[in-house]
Amino acid sequence: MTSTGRVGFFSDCPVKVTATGLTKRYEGASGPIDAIAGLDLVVRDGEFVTVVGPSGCGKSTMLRILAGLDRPTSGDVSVLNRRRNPTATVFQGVSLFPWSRIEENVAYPLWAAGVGRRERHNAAHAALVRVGLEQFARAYPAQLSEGMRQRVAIARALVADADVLLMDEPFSALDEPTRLLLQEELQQLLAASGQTVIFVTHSIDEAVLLGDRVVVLSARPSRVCAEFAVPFERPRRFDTLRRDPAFGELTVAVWSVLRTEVTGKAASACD
Amino acid sequence: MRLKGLRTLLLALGAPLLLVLLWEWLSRSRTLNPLFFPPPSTVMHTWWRLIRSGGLLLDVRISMARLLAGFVLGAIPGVALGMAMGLWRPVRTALLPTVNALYPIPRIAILPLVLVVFGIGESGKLFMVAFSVFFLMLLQTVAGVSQIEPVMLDVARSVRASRWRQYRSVALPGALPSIFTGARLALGFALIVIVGTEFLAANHGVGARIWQAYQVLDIETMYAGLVTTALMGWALSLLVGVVERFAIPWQRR
Repeated sequence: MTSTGRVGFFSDCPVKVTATGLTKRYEGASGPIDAIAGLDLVVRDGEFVTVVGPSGCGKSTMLRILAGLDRPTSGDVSVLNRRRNPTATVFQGVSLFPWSRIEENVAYPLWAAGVGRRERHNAAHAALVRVGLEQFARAYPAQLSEGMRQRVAIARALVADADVLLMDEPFSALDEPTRLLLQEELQQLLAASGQTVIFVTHSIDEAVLLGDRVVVLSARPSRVCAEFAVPFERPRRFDTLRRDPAFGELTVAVWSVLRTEVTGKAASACD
Repeated sequence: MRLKGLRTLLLALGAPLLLVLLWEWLSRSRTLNPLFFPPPSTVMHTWWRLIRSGGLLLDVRISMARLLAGFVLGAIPGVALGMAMGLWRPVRTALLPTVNALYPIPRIAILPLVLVVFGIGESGKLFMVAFSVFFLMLLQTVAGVSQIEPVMLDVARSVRASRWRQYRSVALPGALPSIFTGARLALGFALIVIVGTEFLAANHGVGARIWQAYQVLDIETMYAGLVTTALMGWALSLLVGVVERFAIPWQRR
């Protein structure tokens, strides 16, 4: 296992998420498919972990298991639950209810928990202020741009007040300027909420820009192949980080591991 | 822009008006036999006379009451069962073959059987309408539920919403546009079925009025009945449109 300074400056923080020996087997059309096999992951409180891996590996499956949407075939997940919800998820692409107004979408986690109207309204308003969209509270998702909708999806996840924020390629459908902007905004939001994040992405740049630690998954069946501690202070800015040679070094290091996985020489890199 | 709107209006109103005028002229000039194709002016005159006497309005009320009551009786179980089939695969697997077998039966074909079972009273007519509405609403609801993006249900599950809240917040609103399409179609079917049923098994109602006019060869009243059914269909689709705008505010056309 390639590893540079494992969990870095979070080693003193309490463990928030533990996944041990995770396996997921699907019944495919032509026999069973092992999406993940023997995946171990430890995430500490307040840590921002980004996950990259070859396309079609078990990134999303892993996240769905952590979110409680899928059950692992074997293995265990435990989340240290101190807040309202153990996890909240920001999904890939369109995930707002088109039939609900923006404020109702944002307040949805509270509605699901049976929280009263007034408290829901206040929480939704506060969250919309934080993502700068309070003037769109009464609009419907169709009236917003893709970038605004993803901000709303993030606001909804913040309202859930979860210990761990799970993000499944949340910015992959956005154009680059919007994506860069949202990456900065997300860091500012997290600086305030102090939440733990597991962020799946297919972009190495994004993984290094956002993560305290980059986890590289192997090709299917996935497990953790390498981990990289990212030494830069948070919040990070695109323009300063891009000028830093260490940023380039790190993205190259991640790519060199990922490359062998993508090209299918999994055994050589991972075992 | 303004001019274009005016031209659209002229075409949309002018073309049908021209058709009516053509008919009027063909009928008056006896190119068309006015016995079978009376001029529209005569038809409208007869229609207005029947409305003023109150008889035709009463028929409309009776037919509409049957239609709407039958619609509700068919739509509610249709939507309920459709939701169940859309949400739970075992229910779908168990019931879909039966539904697919019964759906293609021409609605009016069961009328003799219904008359035997229910007799000539109101319940048979309501059943006819309800039967025609039920399957359409059911299938549209199933389609509506299955068209919902899986990620929407994931969102509900990810915030640990109860089963009931998942249905209320995702399944029902997600299926609603499709359900309304069903309602539109079903009301059209219901109109056909109630008029057809009244032909054979009613003393009152627009269908009965047309059929009685046929029996005494009162062609003008038959046409007046046709105009009335057309207006009823138009009113029904208007009604659905209004309800739809309130029920599906997120879809603006």
